[in-house]
Amino acid sequence: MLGHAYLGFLTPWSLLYALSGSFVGILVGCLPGLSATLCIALLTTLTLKLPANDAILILISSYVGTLYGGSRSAILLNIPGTAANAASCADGHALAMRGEAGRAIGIATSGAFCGTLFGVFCLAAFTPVLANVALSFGAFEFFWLAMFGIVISGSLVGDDPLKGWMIGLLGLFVAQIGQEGLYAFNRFTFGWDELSGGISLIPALIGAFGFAEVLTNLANPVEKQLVQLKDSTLPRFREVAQYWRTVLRSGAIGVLTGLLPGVGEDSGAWMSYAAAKAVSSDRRNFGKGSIDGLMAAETGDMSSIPGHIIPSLALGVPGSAPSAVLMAAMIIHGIQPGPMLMIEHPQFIYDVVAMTSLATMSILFFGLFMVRPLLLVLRIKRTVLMPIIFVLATVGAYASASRLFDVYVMLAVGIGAFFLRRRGYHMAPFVLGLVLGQLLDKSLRRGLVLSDGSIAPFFTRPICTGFAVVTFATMLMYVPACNALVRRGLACAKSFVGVRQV
Amino acid sequence: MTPDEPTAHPEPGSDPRSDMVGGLAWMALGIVILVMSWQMDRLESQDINPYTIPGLVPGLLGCGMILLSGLMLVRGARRGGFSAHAIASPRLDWRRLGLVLTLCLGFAGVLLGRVPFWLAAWLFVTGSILVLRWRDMADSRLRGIVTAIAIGLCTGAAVSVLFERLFLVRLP
Repeated sequence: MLGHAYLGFLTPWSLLYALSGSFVGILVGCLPGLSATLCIALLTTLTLKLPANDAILILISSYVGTLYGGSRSAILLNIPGTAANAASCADGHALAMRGEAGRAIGIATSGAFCGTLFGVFCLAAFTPVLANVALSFGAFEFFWLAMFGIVISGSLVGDDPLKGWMIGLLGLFVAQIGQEGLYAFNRFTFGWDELSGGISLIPALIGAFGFAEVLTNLANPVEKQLVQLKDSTLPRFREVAQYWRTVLRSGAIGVLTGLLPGVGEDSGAWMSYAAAKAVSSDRRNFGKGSIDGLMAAETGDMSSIPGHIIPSLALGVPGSAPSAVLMAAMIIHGIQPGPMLMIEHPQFIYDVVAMTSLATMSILFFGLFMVRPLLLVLRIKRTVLMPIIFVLATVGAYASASRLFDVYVMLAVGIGAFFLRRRGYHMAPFVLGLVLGQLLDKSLRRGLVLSDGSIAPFFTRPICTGFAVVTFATMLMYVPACNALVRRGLACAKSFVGVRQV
Repeated sequence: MTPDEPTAHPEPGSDPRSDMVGGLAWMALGIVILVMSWQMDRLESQDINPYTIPGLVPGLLGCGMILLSGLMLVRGARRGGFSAHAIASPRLDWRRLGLVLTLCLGFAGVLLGRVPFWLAAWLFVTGSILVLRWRDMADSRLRGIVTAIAIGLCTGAAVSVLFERLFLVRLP
């Protein structure tokens, strides 16, 4: 099936779609403040009329391209193009400031290429396995999967888990608005017909990640000086060979963080960076132009893309906000992600593997031949670009259902997201709540019907027990008293082991 | 920010005034959700299973919000509550924000659906560039105005052609 998938995409049109998607993605990624979520959401509306595989190929290519393109502004402007590239800023920009901007971009290209390829391999290997495991999930397991996703996302995103969980609950609540799934009863619609269909995902995402960014950029525009490119931008694969341990370790960390729902690509980048620094013999150079650090950040960042796609395909739970939009696009094109995908469309999983591989080749192509021309977009003033982006955002919000109401949803969510972000709330748990809200609702109610009102099966079934333990343990770890208890226990254990060794 | 870079100020989560204000707001929302869920029709006339009433999950979410907001209030109160010194948020130019909101809401809330899309986009993009870059264009106003009009026109035309003609996507 995998060979068939690769052969199926080796056509001129597929190559053109992959290159076009990557090109648009790199352009969007280069521009600080514009996210992969917005890029994929806008392209979803643009590709509505295309065949499913062509549309998803463009979207995946743009996803990969955006995160790769974000490294450019991180290196040249010290502003991450996307949140996922924040870990590349320190070392990338430091290299640029000492005249090695081209080298930094070359390292970003090679790290991105290797990281994505590693992730593609994991995507091919683990998605069918996870999907087969998920076939044994029932209502009880799906309830805990949704709860686990919100708790993990809220814990790992941002500085304050309490705010993360709260915004996740808000997302879950917003998903309840409209006709509920069991009896078609209208909830929280206040007699407004437009709300019967609920709050659509794509307009809400465009509002949270598009309009909010437009407001942020225009309300306080910061125009930074662009560092000039003086040296060669070609990838140095010698450096990949020299830092092969970093590449493999960061690739694995990126994929593993990608499997966690709603965590985002920036976690893969930061954790890879932290791990590289922890084991490096040249730790003091991190943050000051470390090749190892930049390689780790970019590899971890890019390998998390296939990592996020794995739970999206296998479980129907998005690993990140961009993969949530990707999932929405798949549903629009008649493909239902989740455990049944292995039964209804098994070939699609391998098609996605082939698409991601094509996207990886595309970013290598642009990394080899088109670095300098693509950087021209960084010279466009924000006050010129952001109004154009907002026009595209309104089209994106409108086009999926041809309703002006969706545009108003985008406006409302965008304004709310703008002010919430200033108060320290991250939008990733909100997005995850929006996606998982219906699943949580139906699973809980079905589970209670099956158990005749008993909550025991929610805690005694083996997979449920595992999810419940991890969910509660994660929440308790942020309670200061519990955290102190665990630390004391670990310290005792360490000293006990130390005494035994003596 | 690198993982172990020392922060110049406490993390946002530990701002006591923010916790108190946020906690009260979330508590109010949680209570409203809980009350509305409690009052929601239980569809007894349809003889549904009582464990599947529509208000169950929203009610539980409301309870969750109340619980978390209570924790937020306790955290804020323990660190000084409203009398604590507020940690400054990044400075916001309210006047500029108001201008931007007016422009965006004017385009998306007023013009869209009432005038052809290309015209609405042209007016919005041109108007936004002129308003937001007026001071920067002091040296060459006429050139700036002509450029803004040209960019707006190109945007309106390009987006209309691209979406409607090439990709067959309906525009408002």
